[in-house]
Amino acid sequence: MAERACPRCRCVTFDKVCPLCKTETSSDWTGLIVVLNPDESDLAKELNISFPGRYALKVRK
Amino acid sequence: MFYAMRVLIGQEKNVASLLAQSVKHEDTGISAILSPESMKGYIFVESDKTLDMRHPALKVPNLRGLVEGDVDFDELKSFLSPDQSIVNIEKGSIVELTSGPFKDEKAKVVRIDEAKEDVVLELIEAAVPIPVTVKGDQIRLIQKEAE
Repeated sequence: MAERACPRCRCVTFDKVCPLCKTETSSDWTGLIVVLNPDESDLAKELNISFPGRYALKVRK
Repeated sequence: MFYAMRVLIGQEKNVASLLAQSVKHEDTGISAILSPESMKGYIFVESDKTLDMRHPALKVPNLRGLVEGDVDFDELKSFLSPDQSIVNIEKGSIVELTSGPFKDEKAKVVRIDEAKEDVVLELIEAAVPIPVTVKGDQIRLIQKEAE
């Protein structure tokens, strides 16, 4: 099963509903960032990511 | 500090996920791993320590090695917000398809769906004009607007 991403928080998941914000996810997404330590990461700060996890860079609805 | 790593082309996302799993409980200093779509064969790693590729946690399948030197944060910023691929394309533009079954064919833009980044095209050399819907990143602009 293909992975999906949330268009709102960009979290990557297998579910049809985002586990973080309960928005319907989309299968059309590109780019990936895996955040391990959001407090130490400049990339996470730039993208406003505050929880560790896998996020898409661009999600189309 | 940001480092670039060479990976097998097409395996960027898999390597990023595997590497994240591998270094999760190790003291490698890695805080984020970035795999931009436009950068084939490379991933970027953010770490507050100098990376030593001899570390067992960095032995991941399809990871080919570390690129010497570090990468500037400003260089990575352009990857974080990918531009819309259809920004210059207008209705009536002449474009060339860059992938898919109609690769290298020229076509005229009939309609643009900006939300989905879909473009509806009509192939110029086809005998019967059939509308073809493709993604915005599968076309290349040749002529802005046909006379």
